[in-house]
Formats: sequence, structure tokens, C-alpha cells
Amino acid sequence: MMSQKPFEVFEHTADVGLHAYGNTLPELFIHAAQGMESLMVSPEQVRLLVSREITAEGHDLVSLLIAWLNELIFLFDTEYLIFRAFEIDRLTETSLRGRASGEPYDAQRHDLSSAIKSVTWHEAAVERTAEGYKARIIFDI
Amino acid sequence: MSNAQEKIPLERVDQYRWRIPQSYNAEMRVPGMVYADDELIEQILTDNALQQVANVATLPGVVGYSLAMPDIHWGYGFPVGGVAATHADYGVVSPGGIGFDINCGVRLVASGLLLDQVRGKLDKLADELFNNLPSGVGGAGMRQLSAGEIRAVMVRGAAWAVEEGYGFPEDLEVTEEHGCLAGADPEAVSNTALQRGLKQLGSLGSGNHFCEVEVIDHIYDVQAANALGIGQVGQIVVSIHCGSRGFGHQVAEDYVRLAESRQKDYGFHLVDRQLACLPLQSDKGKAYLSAMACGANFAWANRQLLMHGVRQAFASVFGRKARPREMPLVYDVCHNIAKMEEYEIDGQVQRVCVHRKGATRAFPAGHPAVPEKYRTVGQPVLIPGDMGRYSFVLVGAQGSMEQSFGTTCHGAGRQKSRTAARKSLSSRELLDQLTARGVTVRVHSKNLLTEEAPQAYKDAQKVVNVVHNAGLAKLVARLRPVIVIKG
Repeated sequence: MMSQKPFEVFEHTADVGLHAYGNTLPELFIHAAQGMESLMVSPEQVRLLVSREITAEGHDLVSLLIAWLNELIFLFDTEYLIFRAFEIDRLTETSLRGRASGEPYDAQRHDLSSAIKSVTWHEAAVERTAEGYKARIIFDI
Repeated sequence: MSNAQEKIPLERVDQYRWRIPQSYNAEMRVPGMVYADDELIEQILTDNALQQVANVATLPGVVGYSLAMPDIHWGYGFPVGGVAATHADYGVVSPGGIGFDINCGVRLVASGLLLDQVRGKLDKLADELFNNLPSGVGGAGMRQLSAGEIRAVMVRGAAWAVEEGYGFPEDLEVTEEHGCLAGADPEAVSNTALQRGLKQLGSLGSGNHFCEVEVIDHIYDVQAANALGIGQVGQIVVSIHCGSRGFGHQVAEDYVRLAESRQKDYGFHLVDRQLACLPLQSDKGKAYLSAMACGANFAWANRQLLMHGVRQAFASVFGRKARPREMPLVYDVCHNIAKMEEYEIDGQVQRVCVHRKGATRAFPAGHPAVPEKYRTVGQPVLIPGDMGRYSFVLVGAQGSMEQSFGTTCHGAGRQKSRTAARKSLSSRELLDQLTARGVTVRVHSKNLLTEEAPQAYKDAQKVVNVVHNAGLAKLVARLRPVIVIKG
């Protein structure tokens, strides 16, 4: 049972930002992905038809989180895939293996709110909190 | 130094310039210089942009000033509308100082048509353009590329497109760098970037990218306007604003990531990960510039294809009155790029890497890089405004060489976040407003429309007035939108 919201959106002049929360690191990574995807298409509209295995690497938690999210951007940009559900199989400080499930973007059924083009490094942070973890990420749209 | 909202000290230099003293923070290697008038400076102070101008002044090897153009706003790392030059021998290149959308830029196409001739066919023309120019999400670009072809695009840029039948050789003469930046090395580009680029060539994308049909509304400089082929009030012209799509974004991400992971190795301590940088003389720094050139060349090929789509649309609707050869390219400029150029600094000519992030080169009359047919008036500078209001054409002026590393502003500059813009009016209200102003709109994603509302941007007229009065560039003509195509 979560004691905090999974994520919240904040304002940025040209782009959009996200604070994600999790009791554990895998939960944080999942909530960050959910938050990012929800900025594009509302999760209720996304069916679970397709899934992809994702691996990512970084030199610290921030670079690892950005790498994870960028894998999802890559799949959106090349295969037009929108994701709603995520699993993390393995997570260390520098590597990750997980799964993302969703479906291809359908202009008829999906209301697109933003097309995220990149995850930026600007003010990117992963911090410990009393409940677990918090991440801050700003996206380029 | 932090990114917190602190009171930045500003020293007024003259009517259009404000200095951020180097003494503001010990890590600054040069002062900052902000171009603005009294009204714009108030807007600029409402977001964190000036803190970013000061942060940029901490880059190793930065020389002169960390500059802010009047359309400046908060970006990631570098502000948008920021300009900085680093010394070629001991300075760095910061991929974030070019931006994710490498060679996002604008091109302007002229026509022999007047508004009266197109007025009855605006919907038809809008539909034709909307069909010809892929935009939005989920669709492929005009041209799908093989692995071999994308390599050719990376190396030859707009020239590749001309050879493939998109446009004419004379288009290249009036494109910055002739539509191909030298030194592009496909080996410096990741397979991930390649994958993103294969399906996207010849597409507008979304966000603030657009194609606009405009009418020349006012001419400030008759001689220059005639030299540029836009000398008639009422003349129809077309602007295309677009960049290197997912391909360039991936190149930028790959190198920001690389630079960020190396900062400790180089001994750099930067306040913002997005400022991560590579020494210009290092292998990785050179690799970035080669990869950036690939991204830039992709963008020029992209705009060349989109222009072809525009010419075809006009020919389809207007027949003999708008044949492709009678729709010449006026000019094409980048506004996210790094260039190796030479400037006089402290009495000495020095070679520097000029970072232009949301800023446009503005070479004056007589400069050898200006196309011969424009050399007596100066390099055209294309400044898109916002959707409902004016865009501008200027030419570079001598002041840019003396003050701003040959650079001027790039557009209106955002002043409202996307969330605030969307809250301030509905897409229905916005469409009604635009229609009332005589603008025909075609957009893929209505949800995204209000994020680009005129109200979300600074007034471009005020922005160009500052650069004109400060001597960086000179006003030539004002353009009013008639049709807007957006993703």
C-alpha cells in the first residue's frame, strides 16, 4: 500500500517536469515511467497488447533513470509505442532489466497531450526521502 | 552556485544592454550580457534564465561574455536564446549549449503570388500542405531511408536531397553552410540515432515546429527587401520551422550522456548536469562536433524535403502561377548549432566555438560567408514570431561581429509554461481567435495547439526592435501569417 502519490507534474517554461516517488527504487523507476507516459497519453486509453524487454545502464542512479526513460522514448519514436505497465526484474545502481507493456499509438483512440522528444539532464535528481525515494526529471517536448 | 531563484545583479550598460557582473559569483569566468529593453527585462526576470546565463559563464575556456538575446527563456543548462564562445585551443564544447534539436532552424521561400490571388483558395492550399507535409506523431516522413542512404544524408545534407530530386542546386547557395556542415562523421553517430532517423526524413514533427504561409505586411528596408526577393507588400511567402527530429535528439542525448559521465575525469565541476562539456581538443569533443554536423546535415536535408512538399502543394493549387522554380528559397538559418569562427577579442583575432542555442547567425554586409547576391545587404535573418502574430526578416549588421559573436535572436521566446498556456484558453477559443485574425489552421494534435498559443510567447516585435536598435541586425520586412500547419 503506497503512502504517497506515484508522481506529480510541475511547470517549466518550455517543457514539462515530473516528480516521481517510490517506497523502493524499482517502484520509483516504475512510477517515473508511468508519469512520463501519462504526460503523453492517459493510461486508461492504453491497452496492454505488446511488451518489450528493456535494459539500461548508467554510472549512477540519475544516469540510470534517464537511460531507462530514454529507452521508452526510443520505442515511442521508432515504433510509436505507448506504455502503461512496467516491471523491473533487476536493478542495481548502474544497471537495470525490466519490461514495458502497452500498444502502438492510435490517433483515433489516443488523445496525445505531448510528444516527449527527450529526457533532459537539467536539475535531474534522485534522492532518498522518509518514505523511500523521489526523482525529479524535466522533459523536452 | 545553485539554480535557486536568487536576485541577479544587473548593471545597465545602455538602453538595450544589461551586464551581469563577473563578481556575482567567483565561478564565473566572464560577465554576462543581456539584450533587452525595459519591458522585456521584467519578463526575463520572472524565470530562471539569467541564473543560467551566469552558469554558462562558468564553462572552461569561455571568452568575452555569456550572452542573452531578448527572446531568452529558461532552458536546460543553457538558456534558450543564449550565446557563448569558447576558445578553440583550451575551451570546451557543451552539447547542451546547442540543444537537443540540432540545427532546429527556419527557411523562407518566396513566391510570385499576392494575397489577393490566394485568398479564394486558402482552404485548398492549407489541405494540400497538410497532406504533403507529414507532421504529428505516428506517421512516417516523406522519405524512408536505408542504412546506406542515411549515411549519405549525414555527410552531404541538403546536397543529397537536391541530388535525389528535391529542389535545385541554387537552393544550396542560399542555405547557411550550403546546407552541409563539413566534418560530419557517421562513425561518431550511434546506431540508436540512426534507427530514429530512418523513418523521419521529410517530416515536421510537433511542438513549436510549423509550416506557415505568410504575407509581407510591412517593409522596413526597401533596398534589402528587393535584394532578398521579398520586396512587395502583399507578396506571399512560406516559412518552414523544423530541425533534425529524433535523429538529432538522440545524437545530443548520446553526447550529453557521454560528457556527463566524464566530467570528473576532466576535472570539471559544473552546476548543472546539462552543461556537461568536452574539451574541444579532445577526441570526444571532436567526435561530438562530427556527430553534431551529421545532425545538422539531417536537418538541412529535412527542410529541403519539406520545401519540396511546399512547392508541390503550391504548384498543385495554383498551376503555372506557382511553378517550383518560381518559388525560390530566400534563405535558411540554423538556430541551434555550434560553429568554429574567428572574432576579435581584447584586440586579438581568436578562433572560438560559438554556441548558438535558440540564436541565429547574423553576418553583416561584406562578410565572405554571405551569399554573393546578398553580400551588399547582409545575411538574411529569419525570426519566426508566434502563431497568430508577426514574423520578421532582418539582415545581419556589423554590431553583431563587434558585440555578440555574429549572433542575434531567433524568435519570440516563450514566456508561459505549456501548462499555463493550456489553462489560459481552450483550443476552440484559440482556433476562433486565429480565424478572426484571418489565419487558417491545420493541426494534427488539437491538444497541443494551445501550448503554442500567441499568448504563451513574448511579442516578437519587441524582441526584434531590441536587436535592431542594438545594432546586431537590421529590420527588413514583417510577415503576417495566413495559413499555419502544425503537428
